[in-house]
Amino acid sequence: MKNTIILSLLLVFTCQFFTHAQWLEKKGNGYLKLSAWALEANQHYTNSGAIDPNATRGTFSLSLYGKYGLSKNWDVIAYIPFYVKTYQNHQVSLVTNETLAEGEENTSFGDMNIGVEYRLFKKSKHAFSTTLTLGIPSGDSNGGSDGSYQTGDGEFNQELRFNAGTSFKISKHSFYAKGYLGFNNRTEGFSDEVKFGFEVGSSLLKKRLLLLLRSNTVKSQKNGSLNAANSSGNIFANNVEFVSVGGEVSWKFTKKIGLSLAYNSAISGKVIYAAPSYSAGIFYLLK
Amino acid sequence: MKKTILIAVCVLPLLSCIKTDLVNDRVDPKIFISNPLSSLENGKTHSFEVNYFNYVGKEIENPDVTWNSSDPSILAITGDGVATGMNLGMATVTASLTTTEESLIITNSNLVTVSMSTIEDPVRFEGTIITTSSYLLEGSYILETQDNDVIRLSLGDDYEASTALPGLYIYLGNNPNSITDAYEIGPVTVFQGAHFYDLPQTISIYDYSYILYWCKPFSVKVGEGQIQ
Repeated sequence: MKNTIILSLLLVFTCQFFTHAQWLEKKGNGYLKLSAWALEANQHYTNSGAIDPNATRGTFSLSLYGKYGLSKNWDVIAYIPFYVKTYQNHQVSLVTNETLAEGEENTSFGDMNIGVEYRLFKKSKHAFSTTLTLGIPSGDSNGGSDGSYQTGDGEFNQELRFNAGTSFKISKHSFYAKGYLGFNNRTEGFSDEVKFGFEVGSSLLKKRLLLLLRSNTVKSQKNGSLNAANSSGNIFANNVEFVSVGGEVSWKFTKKIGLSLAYNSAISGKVIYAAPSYSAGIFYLLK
Repeated sequence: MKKTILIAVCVLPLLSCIKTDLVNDRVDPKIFISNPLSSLENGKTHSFEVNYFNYVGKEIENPDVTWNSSDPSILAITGDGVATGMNLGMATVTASLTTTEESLIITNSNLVTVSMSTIEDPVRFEGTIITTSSYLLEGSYILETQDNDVIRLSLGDDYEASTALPGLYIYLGNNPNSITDAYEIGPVTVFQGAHFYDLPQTISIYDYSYILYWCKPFSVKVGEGQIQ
């Protein structure tokens, strides 16, 4: 099946920062972040993009994100969700107060990502790089009583991204902007995905405070064979699409340690929860 | 700022635990004469029975039913629902009940002809499955008793269901908002065209009011067909 890979711009992960146009770490430098992330939804985007209700489901994860400069041009990246919980609320009758369906939860390790980033070139205020990320199916793709309490998708995927960034000034105030375009090659019957996004941010208060806005888009190539007829209970099995917007506030309270809060929400989508996610984390800059 | 973030870090895990969704599962209570007649032989008797489903669609055994005949000179009926053909003609048998939960009076009637032979009503329901969500689900159905007394639910050629919603199951129930007391026929494996399900003999054709298509992982109804 033909897949058109469109080259692109852009940014790596939601966890990066204080990087401005230069997002590769210097050799020996690194960035480590411990995050808590939560999403709870009682509605979802259907396969036609409409919003339908569902019993309230949630996901909570604790993860480590790390990036380390191996050399001037190479970084290694890892995302390790070491605690992922998916759950569904009890369903209780408003009329009789009887329990209609017991709630359920499943906790396990999640799907890890490991990758490398290579600096293509950097010139003046502009920088370009490429990232190869491998999605390791280390999570539980069939959790819970009906297999739908997943903490992973059960497939090994490979994602290639092209990233670009620049810095600029407005009224003497510095901003940065990043963008990416990526292609995610998925296996086990899942459709491949095209991803793109951008981020704009600025540092304030002597670079102790970072404010940023971001948007991410995932488009399914709809070339996978997995669907309800041949999968077993996987809720968001295939052909997930969305456009999300969000923001993040980060505060460096020492030169190396800081805290951040982030908010993201899908403003349109298919086969994905229609609810915002929240995250909070503490980061450490290795210098 | 630090405090705010620290509070957020602490609160996020607390928010991510199993809580309670309240489901409005009220339905109108219903009563059905479960062994209706078209015709009763003059001089013979027939013991009418009812199925009663309360305000959450739960079947209540031995309900307190009041029986009436529109013309006792043609068809007499006792307080226990035993009818006797008295003279040739037509009369309507009515079962009525006052619900205990809401004091509603609900009824069901059967027009009976007192004649020279006893004929039970033909048992066959036809209708349409409609989507109650944004997912594709439509088609006609027939629920009927076969010659071998097996009840068969048949979906027509015009049946079509979305393959984008995993965990789709089909049920027979009496509450369109809950599958708590419903009979699970099984997972949906046919997404287009005619097919059928044979039901176990423990199920009577008057036992259920709805065909329900239910997404198990989301605990939400996707579509329904009203039987009676």
